[in-house]
Amino acid sequence: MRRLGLCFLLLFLAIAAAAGDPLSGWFDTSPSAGRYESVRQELVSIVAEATGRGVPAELMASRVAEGAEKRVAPEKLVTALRKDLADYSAILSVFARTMQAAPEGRTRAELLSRGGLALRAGMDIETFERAFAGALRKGAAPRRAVDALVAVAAVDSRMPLDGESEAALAASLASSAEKEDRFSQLASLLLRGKAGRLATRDLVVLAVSVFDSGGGFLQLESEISRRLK
Amino acid sequence: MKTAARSLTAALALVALSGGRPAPAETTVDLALGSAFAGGEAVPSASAGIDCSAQRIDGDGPSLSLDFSADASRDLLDSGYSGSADLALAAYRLFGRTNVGVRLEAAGVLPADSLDGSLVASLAFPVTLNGAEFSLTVAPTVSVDPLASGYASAGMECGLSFLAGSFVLKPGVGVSILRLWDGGLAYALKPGLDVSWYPGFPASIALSGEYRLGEGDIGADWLAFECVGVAAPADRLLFTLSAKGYGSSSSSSLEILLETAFVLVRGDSGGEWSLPLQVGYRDDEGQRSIMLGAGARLAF
Repeated sequence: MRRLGLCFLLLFLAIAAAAGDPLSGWFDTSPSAGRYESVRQELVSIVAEATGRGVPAELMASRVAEGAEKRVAPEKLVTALRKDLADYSAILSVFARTMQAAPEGRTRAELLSRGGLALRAGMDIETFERAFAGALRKGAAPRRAVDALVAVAAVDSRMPLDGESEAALAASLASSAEKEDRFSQLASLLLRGKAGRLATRDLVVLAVSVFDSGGGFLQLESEISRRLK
Repeated sequence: MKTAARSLTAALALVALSGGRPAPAETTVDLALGSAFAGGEAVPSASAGIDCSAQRIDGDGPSLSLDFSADASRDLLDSGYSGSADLALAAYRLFGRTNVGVRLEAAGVLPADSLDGSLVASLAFPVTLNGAEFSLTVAPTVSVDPLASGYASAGMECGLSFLAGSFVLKPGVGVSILRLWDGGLAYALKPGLDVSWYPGFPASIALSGEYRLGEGDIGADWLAFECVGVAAPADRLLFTLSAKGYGSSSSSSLEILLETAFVLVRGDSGGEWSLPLQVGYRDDEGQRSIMLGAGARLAF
């Protein structure tokens, strides 16, 4: 899902560089755009509002294309796009409060795209800010911090965590020695512990401890396996 | 029973009173009714189980963990019963990237009509050298089964863990010497392999196999395996498929269990109440049965 979203985003970044207005270009060229002519003005209006707030138009257009690809009903697509705009605006506010220099260009679009995944997975913006700020304080790069938030949001969607646990886990994961491309495995790793009757709170404390002491998934897996019934 | 309760309380207190980062103890209670179907007959049973875990983690000092579980079931036709319990207490300390620990375990099975009881206590001193992509564990272990048919043993277990994409591979080998209470002496060599898969979605599969080569008064060689698959396709649904068994030249067993757990109530403080439904298959020395069960699971 994340790869699909990034593909749409990169495609629209390329189209935007060549054409200037990605949404108009999409309506003119995409075979699936005809279904959304009835809400074209609303979509264009939301994208224009997004641009005014600093959210890249290409990112919004990529979300439109993603929804069209899934054949989302036109009214639902408008509602979803308004929600995306609210999410991206809130994330930009977090970046402004927590980063010394706001991200620009493609970096901004990628960070917003990934951050949006965390919010759509159910993470609230207060937890997002606490975790993102905590990860930056521990020395994590912004992109790594956002990837850790997405991984923790995926954990939370299957084994609910309180906000404090989410923030602590995301900050520790972001500042750990683990490779970013393994972050998505965190949910399956902790789920195995949960299925083995280990307490969710125990698993979070264990993971934070392992990551904070320089360990990664291998050490966490060993600790969980050791305690499984 | 009083001695066991006092020991458990003392161990819990040790974990609770020690310094470091605490995680409140969590307890899971299972109650279930089920039936086994074999040869056209149904044998209803009731079962109960409890799992309790507590830990205290300190990055600079020793980390402690306590895990206790017990379960019992009663045959509702002839009032036969079975039960087991195990307790594991572990203390670990990190020195750089080396983890040094001590682990005490006790496991007991109540004697029943068709089953001898057992009581095994073991003490291990695992040392783990951690790398980013691999770890090596060496664990000298002593264990004792004080019952009449028991033994005392000493051995060493060595294992490697390494990551290969989304897989964790753990080849290992254990060697041990056993002194049986009836005077026999035996040696055992146990090569094994664990393979776990952790994909980028909420599911996992773990396979483990171990072959025991025995020499002396220890009986036939055997192969034991276990497979556990877990998947959470929705936020209130958890599937667990487990299969385990062993085989030797003279005996074999196989047990497969599929459990679907629906979370009915989820509290703000992390507790939850779920409804597990189980269907299973068992082949014990050629005696085959199908099991069905349903119950309630409370975690708090």
